[in-house]
Amino acid sequence: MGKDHTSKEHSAEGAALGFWYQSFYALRTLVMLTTDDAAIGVEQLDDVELKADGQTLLYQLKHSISAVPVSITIKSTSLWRTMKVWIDALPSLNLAETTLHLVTVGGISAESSLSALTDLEADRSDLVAAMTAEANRVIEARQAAAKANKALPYADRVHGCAAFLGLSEPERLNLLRRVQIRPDSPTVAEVEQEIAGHFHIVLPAHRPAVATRLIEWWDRQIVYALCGERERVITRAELQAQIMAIVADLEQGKLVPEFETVSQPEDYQPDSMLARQIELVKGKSFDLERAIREEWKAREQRARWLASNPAMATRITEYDHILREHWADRHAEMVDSCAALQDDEKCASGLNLLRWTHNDAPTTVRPIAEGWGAAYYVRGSYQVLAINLKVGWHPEYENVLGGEK
Amino acid sequence: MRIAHDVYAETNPAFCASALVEFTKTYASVRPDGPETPAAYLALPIALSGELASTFTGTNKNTGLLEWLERSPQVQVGLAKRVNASLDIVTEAIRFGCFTQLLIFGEGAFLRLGDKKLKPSAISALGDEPAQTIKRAGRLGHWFATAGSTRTVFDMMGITA
Repeated sequence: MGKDHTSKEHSAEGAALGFWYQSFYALRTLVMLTTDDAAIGVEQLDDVELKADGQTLLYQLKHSISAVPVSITIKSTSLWRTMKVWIDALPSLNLAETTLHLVTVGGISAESSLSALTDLEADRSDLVAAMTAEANRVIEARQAAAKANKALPYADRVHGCAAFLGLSEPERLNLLRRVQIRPDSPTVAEVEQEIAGHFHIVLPAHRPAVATRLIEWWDRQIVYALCGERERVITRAELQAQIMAIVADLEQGKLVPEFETVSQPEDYQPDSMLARQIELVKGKSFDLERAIREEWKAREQRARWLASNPAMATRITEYDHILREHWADRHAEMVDSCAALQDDEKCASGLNLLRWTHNDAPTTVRPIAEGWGAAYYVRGSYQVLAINLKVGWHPEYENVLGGEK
Repeated sequence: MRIAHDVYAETNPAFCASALVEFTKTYASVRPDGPETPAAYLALPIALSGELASTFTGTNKNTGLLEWLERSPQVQVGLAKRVNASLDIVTEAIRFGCFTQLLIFGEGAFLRLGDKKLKPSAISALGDEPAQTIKRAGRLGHWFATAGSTRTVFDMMGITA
């Protein structure tokens, strides 16, 4: 029971990686092509089907996660299962325009007659003879076992062998002329690194990041294709456009929100001026709580950017000026309209301005970077500026709070 | 104060002056005249950039500027922008260094070590990241000095007049 359990778990894991390998290998194949009109499909005529330059390339993938993958031989189950898949597909193919690829993580020994399949130009006559002999041997072994009332051997290979023998001699040779084996292919864990290696035009430091994001995009497209939410075939033009978009993001130094889902440490104490500004306009406890939270996030973000690149000081400071301008327009209006009011009403106006920075400013002020969508940077930066008395909520905050500095 | 307190804290003149002292010290150990001021505007933004820290891994003072640039060509990407946007930071650092007599603005705009010394206890109390910044500044001092004239350094870095 324990053994069965272990075997079952391993089997499920291996099968899952095998399916993922199909997706990965399809992406790798499309990346490696230099033909711009290429297009690729998964799980159509074969594991992976590729069209390029009027040619159709079909791929059967045999993935293994063993440290020492089994070599493929003329007796291999994977070989004969593949032959069955291809022979069944023959009526749908124009062989003259099709290449059939068997991709295997395992290798091939140099002496094996299968080595003829690593070169599309090599003569395959000896291989046809060897495969015919092997197929006949399998069929005869089963017939002999049947006569002797024994269990029938080679159940996993018999369909491939029978299909092969069902072809005429010229048909076997014509089929094998279009077959190519790719031994020692990268495993699923190695494909990503290999894909990154093909981005010659991308800066070396960016290649891993581009490969990672490209694979994320690609996996989503495969799922959509299999669910029927997008067309099955993915073109190279789409792939190129996606690579361009990813590289552009990286090259433009796109800023990414890093603190949107993180909160301040529980014992965090902001500068006391933050609280004094809010108390001055009689803010509620929730006004203070969220101001503290957003100030922490924004200041941590600013610190991280500056630690990476001091040039961000200029960018941050310029944006602070923009924030202050938006605030100044509203504050000046408020000061004018509050000139003759009582203190309670001044506080109410100031509180409205404070809440504007939280509720409206993030969507009113243009973001610090194109595509930046997180609200905390605007909200929190206003609190940072309030600590410096560059902005304030009460109409007379400078008089009331500024004299003590 | 022209900039927000948190931006000031991250790029504060006292810390940056300490990095410049280290840069000047190592530069002067090769060329006693000390660095010309423009070299400081090139070195300090690089030393302060945490995103370039990994390019210094596996190097030492003998690696040299050219070898470092060949190993890490990404240093030169956006370098002009990094330098131009950091001019104020370097200026404030030089000014602070001179006011505190850690640095002397010598004849011909050469930076020299001043009469005052940095307190070793203050330097050793720095956290890991700030300490690495000062170390990077020191390494750049060596590399710039051995690379040749200041004009040569700028040419190598891909920044020309």
